[in-house]
Amino acid sequence: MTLSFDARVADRGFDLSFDVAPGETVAVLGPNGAGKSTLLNLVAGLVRPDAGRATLDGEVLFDTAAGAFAAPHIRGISMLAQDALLFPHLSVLENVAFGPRSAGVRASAARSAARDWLAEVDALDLADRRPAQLSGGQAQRIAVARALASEPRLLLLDEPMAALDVSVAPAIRRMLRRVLEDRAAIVVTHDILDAFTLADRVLVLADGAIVDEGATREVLERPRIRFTAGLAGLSLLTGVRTASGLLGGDGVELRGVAVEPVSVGAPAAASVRPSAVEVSLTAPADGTLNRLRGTVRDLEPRGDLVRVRAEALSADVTPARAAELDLADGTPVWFAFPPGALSVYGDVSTPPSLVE
Amino acid sequence: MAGFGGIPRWVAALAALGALFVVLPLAAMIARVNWAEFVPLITSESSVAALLLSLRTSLAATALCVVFGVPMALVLARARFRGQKVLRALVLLPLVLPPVVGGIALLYTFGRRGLIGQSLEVLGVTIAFSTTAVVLAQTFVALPFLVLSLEGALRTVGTRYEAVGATLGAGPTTVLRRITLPLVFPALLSGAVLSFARALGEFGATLTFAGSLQGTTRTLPLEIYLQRETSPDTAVALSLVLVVVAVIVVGFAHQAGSSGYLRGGASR
Repeated sequence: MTLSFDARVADRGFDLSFDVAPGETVAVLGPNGAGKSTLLNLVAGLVRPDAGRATLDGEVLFDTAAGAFAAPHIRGISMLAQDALLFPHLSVLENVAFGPRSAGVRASAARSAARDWLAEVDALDLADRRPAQLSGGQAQRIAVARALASEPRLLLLDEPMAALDVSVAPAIRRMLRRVLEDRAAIVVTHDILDAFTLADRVLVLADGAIVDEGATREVLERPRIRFTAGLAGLSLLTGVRTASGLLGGDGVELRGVAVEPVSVGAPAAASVRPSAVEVSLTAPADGTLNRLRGTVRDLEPRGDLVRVRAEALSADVTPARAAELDLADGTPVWFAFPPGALSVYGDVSTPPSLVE
Repeated sequence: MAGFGGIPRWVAALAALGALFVVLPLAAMIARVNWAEFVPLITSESSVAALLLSLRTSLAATALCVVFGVPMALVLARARFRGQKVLRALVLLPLVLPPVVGGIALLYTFGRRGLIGQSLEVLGVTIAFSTTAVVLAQTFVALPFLVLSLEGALRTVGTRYEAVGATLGAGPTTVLRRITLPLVFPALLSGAVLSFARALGEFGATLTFAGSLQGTTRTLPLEIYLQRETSPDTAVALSLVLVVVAVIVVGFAHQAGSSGYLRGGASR
């Protein structure tokens, strides 16, 4: 299966194109309102584009120039939403058998197929239950089985784990990793762990356009835009590549490790993990460290650590350290981190394909 | 005490007065029932004819309401087109229209010299003052009840389940049959029951458009009105029959409306 997609929706400011290769799972990341759900709805056929063309295995899904639009039920694309949305009037087994039945399979054959898919998601024992008798995690397992039972050419997942308890999400994630292994799928998620676990490639959307894309590790471990850096929990610095690191916009040169070749003088990005950054009130004496001044903008307790945010950098310190330094919004501080903690790579203006 | 009530006493007093206003006339009527003659009164030839005619026509009208009302509710709830609001207002018009006006309108449509009646007359079909006219009059006034209750239910269940069904490969008719209609079935049932009750009580449009011929167009309400002059005991006894039917119908509609998937659990 190969998906080729190009669409515009004027009133949502949506305009983008991408492809999905056979067996590939693509994660779609982006802030709320970026157009992630619109993308899925366009692929599924639940929203009509103003302009554009999309094909699945060469079959036209929509082609506004030719006036073609395939109804959702003939696309062979099933969608799994945040809520399981199991049909409340049907048993679990009948829910899963719904797809095969709709495809014209006889009732008994559809039920036996449904049992196979329930076994696939380890939920065969729930076959006779009603949806109202299921927990959220169980319902989502059934929804996955139901989506797979219709044997879609492409599976769409809209934040499949967002409504689940943190205690059941890992099991569902493992199950999804197994079933998505050699299936083509598009997964909308807010969770970087989902992207790492499930996706071969990520698209990052903002305001209806793709702002970053590439192999999952590349995009998330070398973020080029603030949104992905935030998702990956990294501080993003931009500037110009120097022989030893990066010259920031504020004129401070930082030493770092180039994780991909960028020629000296070219625009570059760099990232550092907050856990590698130390905070002090006076300039650190150790000259081998990168040192940067900043003003505290926000303190966020995160379990056993406190994340100290300044304009350019964040640092994780212990609560005891934060209290000792008497940190508050507006406190001027020094940040320090070893050169080895700063990864330097091409910036957003450098297409990933040109970075070798 | 079971928690904070928060109702001022004067509100409770007015509510009690209102309830009394509904219950008292019924009690007064029941007090006038001639129990000794009750069974002979309601089993007289004209009474049985009226009762059977009422049941037959009301069932037929309810069937017409379902056949046409379900598609109307679907179109009003799901489609989007120009003039939709106007159409909804027009469809609901019989709810607020005096039934006698509806009867006159029907007469000028299906009557011998009516808009359509004229052509039907040529084909040898006469509708006015026939049992068919009774059914049409009842359908006219009862249809909005079914459309209204079903449209509301369709909006409440929304289109999310239908969208899921479509992405699972179900065509529009399969989605309607296997998802939409089962989900709104309780509302369909209670709407149909309300339509049946409205049809059963129909008086004004029937009298105007169908007349009052025993066994052909004289339904129970018409029979009651007629008997009121000559035999008040019969009128009261038949009224009681209608009250009992109405109570059963309301109880049934209430039961159907409160079960089902619309209340809670629908999101799971």
